[in-house]
Amino acid sequence: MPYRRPTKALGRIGLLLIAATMLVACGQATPQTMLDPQSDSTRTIFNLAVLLFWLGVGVFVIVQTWLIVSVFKYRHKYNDQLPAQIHGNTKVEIAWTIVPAIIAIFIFVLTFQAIQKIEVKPSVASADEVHIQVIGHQWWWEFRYPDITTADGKVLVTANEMWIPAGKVIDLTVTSADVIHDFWIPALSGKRDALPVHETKIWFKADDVPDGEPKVYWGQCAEYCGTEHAYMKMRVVAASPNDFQTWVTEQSGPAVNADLPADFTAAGCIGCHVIRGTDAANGGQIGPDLTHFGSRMTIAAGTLDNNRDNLHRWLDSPDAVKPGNIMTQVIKDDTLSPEQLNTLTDYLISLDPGIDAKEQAAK
Amino acid sequence: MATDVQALHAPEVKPKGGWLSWLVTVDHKKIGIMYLVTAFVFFLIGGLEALMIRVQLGTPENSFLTPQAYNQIFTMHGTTMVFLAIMPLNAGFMNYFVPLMIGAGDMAYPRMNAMSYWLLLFGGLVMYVSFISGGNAPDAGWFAYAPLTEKIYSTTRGMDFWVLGLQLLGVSSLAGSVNIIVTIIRLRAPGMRFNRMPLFVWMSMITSFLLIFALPSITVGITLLFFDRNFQTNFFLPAAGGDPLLWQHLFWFFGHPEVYIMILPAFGMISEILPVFSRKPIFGYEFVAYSGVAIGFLGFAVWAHHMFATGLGTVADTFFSAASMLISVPTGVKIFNWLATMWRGDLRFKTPMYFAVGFIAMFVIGGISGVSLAAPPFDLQVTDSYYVVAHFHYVLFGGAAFALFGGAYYWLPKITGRMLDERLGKFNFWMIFLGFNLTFFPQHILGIEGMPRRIWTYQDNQGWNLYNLLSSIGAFLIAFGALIFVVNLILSLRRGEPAGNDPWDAATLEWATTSPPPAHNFDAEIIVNSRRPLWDNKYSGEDRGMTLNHDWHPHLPPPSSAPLIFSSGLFVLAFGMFFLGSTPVLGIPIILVALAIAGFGMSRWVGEIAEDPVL
Amino acid sequence: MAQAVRTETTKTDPGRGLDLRKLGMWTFLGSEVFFFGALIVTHMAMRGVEPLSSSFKSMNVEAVRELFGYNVITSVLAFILLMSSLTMVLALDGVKTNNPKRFRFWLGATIFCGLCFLGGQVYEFTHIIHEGVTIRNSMFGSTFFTLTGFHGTHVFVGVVWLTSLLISSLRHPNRYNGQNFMAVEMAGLYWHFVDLVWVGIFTLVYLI
Repeated sequence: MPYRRPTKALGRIGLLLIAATMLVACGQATPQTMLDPQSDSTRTIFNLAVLLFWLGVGVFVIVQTWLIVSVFKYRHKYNDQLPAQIHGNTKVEIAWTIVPAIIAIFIFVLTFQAIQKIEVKPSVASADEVHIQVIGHQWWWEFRYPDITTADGKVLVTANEMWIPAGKVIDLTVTSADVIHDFWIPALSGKRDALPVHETKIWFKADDVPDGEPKVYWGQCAEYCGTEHAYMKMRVVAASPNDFQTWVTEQSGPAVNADLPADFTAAGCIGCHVIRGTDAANGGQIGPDLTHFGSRMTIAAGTLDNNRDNLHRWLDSPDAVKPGNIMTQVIKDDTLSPEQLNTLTDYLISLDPGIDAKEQAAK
Repeated sequence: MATDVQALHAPEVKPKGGWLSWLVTVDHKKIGIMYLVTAFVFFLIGGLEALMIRVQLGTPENSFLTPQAYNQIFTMHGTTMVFLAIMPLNAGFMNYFVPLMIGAGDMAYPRMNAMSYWLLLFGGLVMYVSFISGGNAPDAGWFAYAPLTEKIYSTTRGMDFWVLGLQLLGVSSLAGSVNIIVTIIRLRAPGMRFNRMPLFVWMSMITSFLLIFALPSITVGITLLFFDRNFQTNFFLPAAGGDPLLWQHLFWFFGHPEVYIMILPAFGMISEILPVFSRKPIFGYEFVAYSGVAIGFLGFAVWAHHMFATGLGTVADTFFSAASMLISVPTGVKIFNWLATMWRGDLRFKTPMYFAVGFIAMFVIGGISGVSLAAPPFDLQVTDSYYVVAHFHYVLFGGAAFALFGGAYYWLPKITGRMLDERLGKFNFWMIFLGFNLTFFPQHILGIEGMPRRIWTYQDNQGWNLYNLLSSIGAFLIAFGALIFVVNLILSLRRGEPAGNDPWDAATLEWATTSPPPAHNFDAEIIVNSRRPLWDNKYSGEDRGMTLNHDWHPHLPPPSSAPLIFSSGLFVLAFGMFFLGSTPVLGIPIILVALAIAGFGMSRWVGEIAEDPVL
Repeated sequence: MAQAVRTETTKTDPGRGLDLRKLGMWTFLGSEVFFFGALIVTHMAMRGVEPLSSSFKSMNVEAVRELFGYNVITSVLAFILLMSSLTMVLALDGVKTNNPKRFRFWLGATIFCGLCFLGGQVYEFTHIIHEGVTIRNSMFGSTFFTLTGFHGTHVFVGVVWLTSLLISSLRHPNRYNGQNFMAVEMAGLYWHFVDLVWVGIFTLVYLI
């Protein structure tokens, strides 16, 4: 536990108080807040923010007090004598040029330290580092684990849900398949643009969690990316290294239900989706990999909770659930017959190898 | 010896020619009024768009707007407010008051001034035609980040309208800026040295220089974008090696100075209003003027602070962060000088003063959140969230719009010759003040709670419901406030008290003539002897502020239809360009017609110059 | 009293003595510097970028130059344009010294140089397109044609402007003279600027 200066603690208390009032005011949990940092880098940012907040409060109080006092003290009072015509005072003015400059330099120095801290990735043993490639698509997230090989010799790929081992350095390479998106998990990591062509880097280290209690963090695309920018969400699950290993083992296996319904091909699903270990193993890669779809928490990048009813709703009419999304180009409201709908819903829901964070997410 | 202020009063001259005279006018005051009216209409339209946004976001998972409609409306809200409301409102006041404040008879180039106005109107029309043409307004945001703007991702023609409209607006602003700069440098009354110019004139000059140097960058950007969309080039598309970041650099090299282009005139207005209603001179004239210059220069060195999230690397982050924080120094200086201007004054709380004080209070909040955004680590959390939305509305609404309201209450009596109602004015202020804070303060919290900007809806379980609802209620209060302003304006025009020449007991030259001023502005040449010519004549004794030279024959060019014809040519040209890539059969004839119209306008113009060598 | 103040201020305030139209032209050209600056920077930054898709051409800047023998054509073009600046100076001198014949001769020479430049540019463009570099198929092509195309457009506008001066001086032989030469000087300013931009483009695009 690093030594914390009391002023910082005071700041934290202040901000937490505000956060608490906000919670009370809302009567609602705010799962995407940045006031509850859970990684090294977001904590650094939070501490900087606390400092900026109190400096801001200081400036605010000084200026507003000065303003309000002037307003009441010098308002016209039935006295038509002209006030003293003061044109200025160079000394005073130089003083209030220099003082803000000093404050600005002070802020800058702290900012500089914070930049170094969050942008320079610590060098650790390769066992303590996990590389993940984040790819933004219109309007979902793809996560590739280049160091993890699946049963059929491919790279492990998931969608909209990224599992990470807590306490290890997560080294992200962020890019985009189409327009600019932006990766953002407020509790774990500041933003990083997902740019086409370019690969941007960001890293963080999530706080430790105990075995059996993976922690779910919410995130969302933060760069306007077209029609469904609002529904381009993601979940990050920070699991203990043991749980993470279990997840890796399960996820790298083939689909738990290899009995792919013919409708998956007939309805055109295979054109965009892969299900490893089935006839759809070489399906298109336009949409999310569905190999272990049943284990995921949400449908359509955070649009719906993943359960049978919702999945049925989604497949019945993607346009009603997430208007304008790309799947609507293939699946119209009447594309799937009721039988096809049921078959596909049942099948996709069955693709659940075991460990998942649905329970934690429900908490 | 006729330095009596009364001697300046011109007899009331009735304008001739009815509404048609507005089409051919080259009078900076009429053009200024057209600027103000047009921009105010666009301001109301942009406000309606804002209301639609707030209705949609008032409750979670609302279906008031489809995502497609929402995206068009927020794009047009931003574009309208920046290019069609704030900038032309500033330009309108500059047009009307810069020549008056420096004691000139008109702008340097009266005909070009008319052209600037017509191109503003036509640029706005080109953008708004997109709504009518199949409801396909631009939908990629006012920042138009490539490659979302490219044809494969933005499939409607909306962005083409956006580019073409912006090109016309760009020509308008460029011509307007050249005009303002030349007017200020060249047409100042004798004795009106640079260090005697009113601060609004100073800020107008700096703003115009910023425009001159910032506009080319976005002109190049949107030209390349237009080529991409219509002529299959690949400047911003990765396949051929194009780069989306190229757009961001071109855009923000314009986009950040643009922020100061919008706020510096507001600084100028505040620096006029505060001294008059404090009955004191501005505190530290030189500091206020030169800090504006400093802001202008620094404004060109900070554009990449809009791009911290793209991963610029630690060196660039550090540089742009430092430069951005540096800007807080001259800005802080201005605020302190304004406060010191009020200090020990004799404050008269008329409506303009309400807005000026409100401006300081609100702008400071925007400034504070601005410094926090200049710190890259914190920026990585809050950029593109509602925190940023709150920040720039505190700067542009709490700042620029408050100043513009103040400026309107201050200067409209000069323009219309009638006072606005004080009680309605104060009601107007409080409505806007409360509505503004209710709308935008909660958005800071929304951003911190993780709400990204530009999302068309949000889910019930995000915990953003209450603050969004408050924000939406606030938006309606602002709308109500704006409505009061409209009512006040109409009442004032119909039965407002006559303003007289100098209703506020002011200091600068625009108050040394009638309200409204005669076509040639002043009946005598003013020879300026001090920084507050009118004030010093009133309070320090005759001739201390200014003397008059009655042997003065200001030359005003006659009305001209050439600017309107030439601008119409460019307007038609925009539609020709619109069709050139997709249906050249249509595009080429339209372009030829457009060039013919523009050429005809130009030749008339040249002919008029030959007889009367003023542009 | 009034007069006294006036003389005092024109001395201490040189801004008021500047020519109205010239000042506007300088301001406009200041903006143009940034316009071409943005285009040149775009070209310099993007011309060597490799395409991702094989349907686009990869351009080695050096190879492109070898292929087109740029330096010969464009050196001649640059020389012509520089010469046109000289002829423009002589034309203005003709007006100022009240010598309309000289004025028209050198103005005609300037227009001729401008037309030669434009012709050379058309030739160069056709040649380059023939060799397989187009505005669509590579970053080099896109940025090159945009930059030089916009410069060519400026030259074209300049030629039209100078021609209109020539026509007007033929119709009204005494319109421009030693007292009234601002219209010519303005066109000259613009023309020199366009030439200067070419010096910049030539150095950065063709040589470096």
